[in-house]
Amino acid sequence: MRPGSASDRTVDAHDRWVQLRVRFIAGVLALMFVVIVGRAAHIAMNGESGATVASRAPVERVARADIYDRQGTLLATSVPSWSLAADPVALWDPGEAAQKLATVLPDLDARALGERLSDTRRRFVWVQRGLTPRQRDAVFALGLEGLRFEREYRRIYPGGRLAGHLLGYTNIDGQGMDGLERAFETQLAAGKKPLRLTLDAGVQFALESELHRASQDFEMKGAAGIVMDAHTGAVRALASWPDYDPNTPASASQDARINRAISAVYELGSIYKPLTIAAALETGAVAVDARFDVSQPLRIGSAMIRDTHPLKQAREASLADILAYSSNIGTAEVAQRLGPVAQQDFLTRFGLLTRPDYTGPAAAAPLTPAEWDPITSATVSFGHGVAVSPIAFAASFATFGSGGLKVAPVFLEPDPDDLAPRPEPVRIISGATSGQVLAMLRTAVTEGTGRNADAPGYGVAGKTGTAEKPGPDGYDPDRNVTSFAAVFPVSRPQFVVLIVLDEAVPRTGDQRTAAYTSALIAGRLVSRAAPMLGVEPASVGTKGAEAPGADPEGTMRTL
Amino acid sequence: MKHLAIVGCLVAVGLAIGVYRAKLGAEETEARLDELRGEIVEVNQDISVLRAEEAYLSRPERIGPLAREKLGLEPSAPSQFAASETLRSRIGEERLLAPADPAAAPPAATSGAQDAPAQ
Repeated sequence: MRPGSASDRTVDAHDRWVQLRVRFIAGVLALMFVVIVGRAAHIAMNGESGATVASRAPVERVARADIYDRQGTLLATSVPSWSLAADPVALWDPGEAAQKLATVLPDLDARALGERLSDTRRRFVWVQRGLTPRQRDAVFALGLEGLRFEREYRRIYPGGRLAGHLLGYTNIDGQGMDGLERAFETQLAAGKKPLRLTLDAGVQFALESELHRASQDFEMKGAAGIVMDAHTGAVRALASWPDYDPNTPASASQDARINRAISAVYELGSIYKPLTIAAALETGAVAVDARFDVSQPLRIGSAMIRDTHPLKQAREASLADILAYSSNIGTAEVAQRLGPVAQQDFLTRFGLLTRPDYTGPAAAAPLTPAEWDPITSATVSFGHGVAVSPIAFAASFATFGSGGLKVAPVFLEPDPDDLAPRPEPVRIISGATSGQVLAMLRTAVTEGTGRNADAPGYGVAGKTGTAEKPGPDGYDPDRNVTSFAAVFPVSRPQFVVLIVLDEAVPRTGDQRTAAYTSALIAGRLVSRAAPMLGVEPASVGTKGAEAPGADPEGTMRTL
Repeated sequence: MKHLAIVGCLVAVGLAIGVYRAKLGAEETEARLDELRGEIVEVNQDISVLRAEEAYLSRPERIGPLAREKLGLEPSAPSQFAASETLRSRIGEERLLAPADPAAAPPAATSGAQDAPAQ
């Protein structure tokens, strides 16, 4: 082949073309290599996009805050639990899956679940919530596809029925539905700080036990009890009978779920008498040494006020006698001297004519008379015609233990971090009036209708109340609300106790008045709860120590 | 110039490796941190379950009968309390532990003092 020939030129052109193609491919490969290396370096330095480390961190769901009593006893907490969910699209045979699940989760309705799991328009169906670890393992063992477990928290109340009404309960989504769970929903749901109650679990148990015992001693429809600090309004115990377990609220009857201490109103009867007398003493309408003739029924308009048990010294009964022997005639006379305007004014100041204003489970609004005529004024003076919640009455009665200051119920221990100034206490009656009424209340226990409430050593000062319940044909003498309101110890008032029994009839055949029902329960409760409340007993039989204010500094000390 | 370029390249490669290792270390540490956080969550949950169990086991309705049956304990009674004044004359005396001498016994101002436990 000759150089420079046409065939040579063809070969050169072909070689150049090959070289060009080789270089082009090498260039493309080099570019790809650079891109891959660059990308690899980028990933090595910056991590994978879209999958940051933080997103892999386990997300801790906020657990609802715990609830403790004032001594640190756990009353409500949230424990982890598992909830089972299914993806209907991923299930091979929904009917079979439902049948198998029902074998390990007995509460399930297999047919209903099968129908829900057959709905392939949905990608998420709850099968059951709040599974125990054992149930979870059992579901795992079934080896079903399309199921998944969601981690949740379940609210539990370790004390069972203890303080059930007051604590309330939550729904399946952990939202407070009743009681303190509902009242403090925002605080509890935030999960930051546990709720520390003013409640004392020991005293609460004593109160609940006594109400339970009352249900054995008496035929009764219901009961409520409250123990409150007379100075701060701190609720140490609050119970309602019949009770229920907040762990299983759905299994409780509607009747058992009513918190009779807060959500119900009662005409409480003669425990109003000390309020009437205090108002009359405070306004100067009656003098502390005034005498009343209560020997004859008192006619007011068309009504006749009578005493069921005439007083021994009926022609010149003192205020203490009127309280001790629960004279309706005497109290109505006091109310007449007081006048309806002042009476309403004082009852308003005691907080009994409006819905109580405090932070906690909302109390029922009182039922008050439409008009305040002389007959109404007389009946209200001894506790008929006005219906209030026990919590409202306990707070009003605490005035006799606080030296005349207004007291509002308190459910939470003070927060040490809360530096907001406390509101100035509001005086309702003077300390002197409070002391005078307290002395009369002590007499009512030592000599009057409250004898069964006496707790030796603890100086109980209190008043019985027996009120007929209103029915369709007026007041029914066969159905009573019996109550006992007390302050103790009288020498250095610290606590208020209120017991309310609904239609209590002693099984022993005793009378169904407060003297034989609620007073008895109150006395037992004080004996049992006082040591837990740190109340130092006065020496039994030492009269001076049982006088109001005899031990203002608390000189008694326990061993 | 050529050496400078080589040294520069080596330094750059060295720095790149350093950064890579630091990144890797940080990732491993963060992963370990996540693991520990997870463990803390688990332990806290275990603690909350144990606390609930403790509270369940120490319910008054359970502890009361146990204390009565096993330990012979009863709720305190007013007779078990005494005023400090009634003890003043006895403080420092051996009678607190020994049986009281009737002649030197303090005045029986309270029945509680006589019944007061000596422990």
